[in-house]
Amino acid sequence: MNHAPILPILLPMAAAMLQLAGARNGIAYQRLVGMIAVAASLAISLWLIALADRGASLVYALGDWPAPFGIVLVADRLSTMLVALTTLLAAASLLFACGGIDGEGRHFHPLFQLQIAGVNGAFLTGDLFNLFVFFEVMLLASYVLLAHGGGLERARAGLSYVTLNLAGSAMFLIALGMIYGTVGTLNLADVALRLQTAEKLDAALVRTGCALLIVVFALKAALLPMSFWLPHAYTAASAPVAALFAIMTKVGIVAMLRVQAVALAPAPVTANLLDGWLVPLALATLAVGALGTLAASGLQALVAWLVLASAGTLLFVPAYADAEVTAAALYYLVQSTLATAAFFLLASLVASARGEAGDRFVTERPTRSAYLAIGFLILAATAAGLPPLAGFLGKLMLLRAVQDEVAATAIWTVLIVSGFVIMAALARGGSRLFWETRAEASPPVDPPACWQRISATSIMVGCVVAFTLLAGPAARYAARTAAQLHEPGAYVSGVMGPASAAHAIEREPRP
Amino acid sequence: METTLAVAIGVLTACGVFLLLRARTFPVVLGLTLLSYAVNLFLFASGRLVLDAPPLVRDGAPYTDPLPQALVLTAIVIGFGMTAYIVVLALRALAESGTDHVDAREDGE
Repeated sequence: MNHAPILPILLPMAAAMLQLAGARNGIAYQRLVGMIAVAASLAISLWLIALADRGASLVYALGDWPAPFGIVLVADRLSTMLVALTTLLAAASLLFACGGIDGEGRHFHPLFQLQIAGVNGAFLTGDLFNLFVFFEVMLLASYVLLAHGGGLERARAGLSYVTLNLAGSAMFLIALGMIYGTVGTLNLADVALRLQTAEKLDAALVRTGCALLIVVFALKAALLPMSFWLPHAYTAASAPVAALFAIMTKVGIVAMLRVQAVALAPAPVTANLLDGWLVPLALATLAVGALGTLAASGLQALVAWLVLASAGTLLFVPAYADAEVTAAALYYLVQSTLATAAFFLLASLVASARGEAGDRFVTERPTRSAYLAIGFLILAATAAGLPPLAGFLGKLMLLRAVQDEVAATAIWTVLIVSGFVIMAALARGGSRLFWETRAEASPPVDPPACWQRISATSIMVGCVVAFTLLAGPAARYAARTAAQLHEPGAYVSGVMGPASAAHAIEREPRP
Repeated sequence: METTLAVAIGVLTACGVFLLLRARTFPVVLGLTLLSYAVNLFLFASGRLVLDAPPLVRDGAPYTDPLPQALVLTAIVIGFGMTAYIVVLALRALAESGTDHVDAREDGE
């Protein structure tokens, strides 16, 4: 058995332990261990992509217990792609944090590594209860990272964020209990198999359990009625933490995509579970996110609303369970995650260059640096979906993919109008930040940005540009990923062994 | 037996949700704790209720499903850690703001 799939979880955990054990050696030691760990993780995740792109998904049975009894990790194209994205974000955020932010509170580095382990685990696991555990690992680290640096605003944002997520965890457990009580298993592939023969099961209970599960994922992904925690929490977090959090809403979206594609859509009893309500709510989320960017009073708050808008853009995708739409959405997901994370880092650089005003949209001394303005231009064009950058390509692919689906008119309208609103908000904010300046303003309060922060931000902006240039290969990889995701029979027989191929899953044509 | 458990879960959930919707941090923490008790009982019941049976499968002998017990154990540990953290966070918000309101400011401020 190839042990590669567990390394993206083990490596950050081992690094966290080393950092805790050697905490007396000071922050330089923790930084060194952390940077080595993310660099090694990055190499491993690229290797995993190469392994998974051969076609068959790598299934890793923990403790070598066979599938329905033990816990499995599944490294297929989707999970390895997202592990690589997480590690890339983590590397840039960690480099940024090494520019001084990590020293503002205690234990930043071990928590950061645990957060990476949690996110990677949530992407890799093939077991629903294990997914809960990794969600909790991820959230527990995020609670403390959110409060990192202290201050009333962070304590206030942290309190509501923690309370909401604890209530969400309770709901997650109720959903798992209902699924276990009716279906009799929590292994995702086994759930998919048994849902096929659901005539014997209590359909109402099964549907309620699966719907609760989707609601929990929607909470993590910030679907509209449950999204009011996001802008507040992401605005209060320190820049590298917010940049890493950019992947966290995507964990919910990807979990929803995976469960829908593998288990719910092929089973007759749950096939129409997402129909009718997910698309309107996702579009409402997008509209609220776009309006929020207009209302934002500072750059980091504006980017937090952009995260919400990008979640809204992606959340209608699971409703279709269609390979073409998913492929476009995956490209969009990667570029929007990169762009929002880069934007959080840039907002912090702009804030430290502007003195007392920080990143608020008020008249202040000029930033003096043309690079900040160029970075802002690139990221703003990406976020608003203007040509020729990745945001435009992603949005175009998404619009083309949904054009023959139901509700295409509504999706086109909301996507295009909200893109315009976001562009207006960014144009207003950018002109305030870079053009409306006065000479006699306050001197900068922070020390000038150090090389770690500048290079981390440049790397992220460079990734956004590179992702535009590599759009062809990336889109083809996304198409292969989506095709694999929407072939649940292969996933199930990969996890449960070829014996289950006798009753391999065939997609029912949707009415 | 089933009725007793169902009523217990229902009462715990109702009290938990009621307390969760209060505006002070202490009732909110208590509400989360009650809610997690209710959830643990619910998970326990998902393996069916069996009295006086070990969680071991032997030939013909009655047994109770061991998996929900493992799940509940994990959920208890995680819930305990979370509760400890939110208590500390609530204390910190109290120290920084001087109020135990969940918004860390009194109404109308």
